[in-house]
Amino acid sequence: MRDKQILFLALPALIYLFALTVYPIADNALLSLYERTYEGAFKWVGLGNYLWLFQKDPYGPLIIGNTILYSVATPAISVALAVPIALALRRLGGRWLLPLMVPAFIPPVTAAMAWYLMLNPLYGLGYYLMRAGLMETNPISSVWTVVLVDVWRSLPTAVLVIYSGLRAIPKAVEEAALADGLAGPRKFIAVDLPLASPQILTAFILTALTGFFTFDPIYIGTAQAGPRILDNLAYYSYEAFSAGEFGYSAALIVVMTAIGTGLSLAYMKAFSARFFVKLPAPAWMPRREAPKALHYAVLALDLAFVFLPLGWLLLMSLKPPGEIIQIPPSVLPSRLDLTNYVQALGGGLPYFLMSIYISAINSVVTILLAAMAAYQMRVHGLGGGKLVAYILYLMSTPTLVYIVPLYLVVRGLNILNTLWALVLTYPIMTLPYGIWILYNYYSGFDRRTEEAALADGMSRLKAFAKVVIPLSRSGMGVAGLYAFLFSWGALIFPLAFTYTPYNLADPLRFSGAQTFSIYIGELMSPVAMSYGGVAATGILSAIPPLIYLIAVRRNLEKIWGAG
Amino acid sequence: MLILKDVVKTFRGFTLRVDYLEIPDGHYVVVLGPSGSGKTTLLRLIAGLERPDGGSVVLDGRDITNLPVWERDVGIVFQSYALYPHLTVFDNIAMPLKNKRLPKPEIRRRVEEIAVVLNIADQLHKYPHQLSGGQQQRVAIARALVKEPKVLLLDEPLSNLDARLRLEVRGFLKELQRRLHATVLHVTHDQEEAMALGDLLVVINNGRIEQVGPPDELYARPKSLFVFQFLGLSNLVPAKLVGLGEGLVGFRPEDVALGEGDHRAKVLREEYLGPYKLYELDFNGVRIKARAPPAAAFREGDVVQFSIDVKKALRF
Repeated sequence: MRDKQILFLALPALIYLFALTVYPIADNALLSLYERTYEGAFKWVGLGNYLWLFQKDPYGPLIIGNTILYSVATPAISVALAVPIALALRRLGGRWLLPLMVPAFIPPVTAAMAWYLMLNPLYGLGYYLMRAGLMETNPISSVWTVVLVDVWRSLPTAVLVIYSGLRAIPKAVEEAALADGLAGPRKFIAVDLPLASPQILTAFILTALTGFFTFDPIYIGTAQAGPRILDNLAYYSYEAFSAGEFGYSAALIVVMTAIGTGLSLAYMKAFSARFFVKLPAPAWMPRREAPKALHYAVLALDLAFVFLPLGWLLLMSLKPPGEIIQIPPSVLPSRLDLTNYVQALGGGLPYFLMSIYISAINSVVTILLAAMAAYQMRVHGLGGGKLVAYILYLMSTPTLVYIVPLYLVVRGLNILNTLWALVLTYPIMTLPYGIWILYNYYSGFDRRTEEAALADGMSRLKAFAKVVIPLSRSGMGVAGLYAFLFSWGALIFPLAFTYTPYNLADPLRFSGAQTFSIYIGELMSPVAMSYGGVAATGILSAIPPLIYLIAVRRNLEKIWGAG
Repeated sequence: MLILKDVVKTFRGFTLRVDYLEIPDGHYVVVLGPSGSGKTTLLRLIAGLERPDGGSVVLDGRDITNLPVWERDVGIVFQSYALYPHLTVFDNIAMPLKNKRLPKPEIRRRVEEIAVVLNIADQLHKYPHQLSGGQQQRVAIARALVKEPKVLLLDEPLSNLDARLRLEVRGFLKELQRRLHATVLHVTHDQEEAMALGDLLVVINNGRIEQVGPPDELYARPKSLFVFQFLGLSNLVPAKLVGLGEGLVGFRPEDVALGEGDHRAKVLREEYLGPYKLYELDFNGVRIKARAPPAAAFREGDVVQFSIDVKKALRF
């Protein structure tokens, strides 16, 4: 049944997405062939920008080396850690999944900042690590710290994906394996690992995308270590952009888009694969089940890994200012002191207000537009597999790709450095996720409900508003969580489109639109040296998403299959 | 011979209790019971997928109660077949032999032999998802048989097949068992399937074994009301109504002769079933069923006379 109202409902989301993603991707390619002159005019240089990157740019080899390191080390370490953790979860029960997922809900800037504060060789635990000889180089200026933060951020996703793959192995196949003499490690090699191999590959590609496009840890690390040391293509292209070299920035982004698209295509292939890796399980492999204690130990180590930086951050935020910068550093505060929070709220108020505004607005916009489009896509097959594939593609494409053309658009509309610039651009990062979550949610939705409403004389629009929306609450709750999370933790868009804090003297003009993630970066610089304030800001920034997480916990567990 | 003695298994408030059960060699034994009766638990206890809380399972004089699944000399065919999706048919069937560290040539020989028996010799290079449901089941049976188990356990083997295929596979299973002289334990909830296949039936209800015996014995001389009503169609009336004293009397529809006799009943409904007709009658307020030749012409609402073959009637 083709019906204009079906298209009409999906149209706002689709028009928005196509206009604000296809245009920037195309415009990047064009811009990358130009150079912006000193006077601000664009001059045709052909492939000059690309040649500059690979042949002349003195930072070229460093940037490319770092990029490769981040995009290989992060997935390799994440997946290697995620497999034993997923096995422990399967043995001990999915209720442990929720605490392990916490890093995925902490704003990335906060996560990076917590690690840098903890590893600080003068005022953090790093002091003791260095003195004990466990750490030799200064972690602040090491690229491995960036990898560490990215592993911390991406491990939950890897664990979740691999755990779901292990759970999808039918119970009867596991019992058949027992009958055939496969148990313990031998069964793991012969049955579990091959059958979960599509998910392991998926996890690898997803975490590789995190590593390849990593930005926030470098933003925080650079504030501490100084420029260029940690840069990858993503961060370097942002630096080129903020220096006004739009052509060069666009060229770097085109290179990244090409590689990222390759990874995304691989991700989609792996996602729908019916292909399993085969492994030989020699008969000498033991059949004894690993003891439960070992699984508990794995879980305990992961929990420690997850909560160590957060715990350090909390302790720091409660120390009296005098105890924060002292050598050797104290671990526990001598007394609980809220000075840091007063400072964070005092200086950070305009930033926090702006973050709250944009997160609330964008969550609502995303949920509504996503539900309207996802329902028609799933239930009425609108757009077919191609549209679904494009949504998946957008999900794995980071927002960095859009900044140069969108900056020119936002500037052209005269809304630079206002709330409206963020309102216009934020759905690019949240809408694809929202559509994907609801698209899956609606697979279990009975379309006869809508048909009954039509039979009762409602129009399709009315049926959607009065019947479908009220029945989608749990799916919309989860889509809203992700929309809120991404909006709350966003860094690249506010960095690109704003340059002053929210002007509280004239609040209704909503001009000046920097968010708290920028505030954290500013406090992290060695000049500001406001480590107590930044710790308090970090704790405050983690509270709203964690509250939201606990509120929609049950619906999440349904989607994760952990219940 | 497989013997279960004093086996008890409790979980989720349900208890399966088997005081004594003997599965003789070379027989096709069907465990029959409604869902939730404990029949699958019985099979899983024999397989070793569950451990009993007490009692023992003895196979050919060897106590296997606490042995791991793969050391028990039993083959299992799962309801969903449970083939390894990442392995070819050959590797699926070879898996139990590989884990016994048999030499490669012998593995190849035995897999090929059993594949011939099950008529899947030309499918060995394929993957499970390339096979039909019936073929997948044959692979599952081959995998269970290739290790030459002393007992073959079949868990609801016909439930995933459509009605037409079910009859075909039923015949195939029985022929296979006869050809190999295998001992088969087949679990089902379908009484027709059970009677058609079983040399011996084990009727189980509510965690207890109700009766063990050949199907004709269980049908004609059920020891309990449950067995009587679970196997085939049945009538149950107060004994007073048919002049047989106190209590209840049971009889089969085919033991009712419609047309003449001492009793009268009103025809409520007629079902034409091809080779015969089935009538539902109101007999002094009790509903009974009677079987009649297809030419019978009683009409709904008629009052008919009938008699009951008292020799075959059962008292409960």
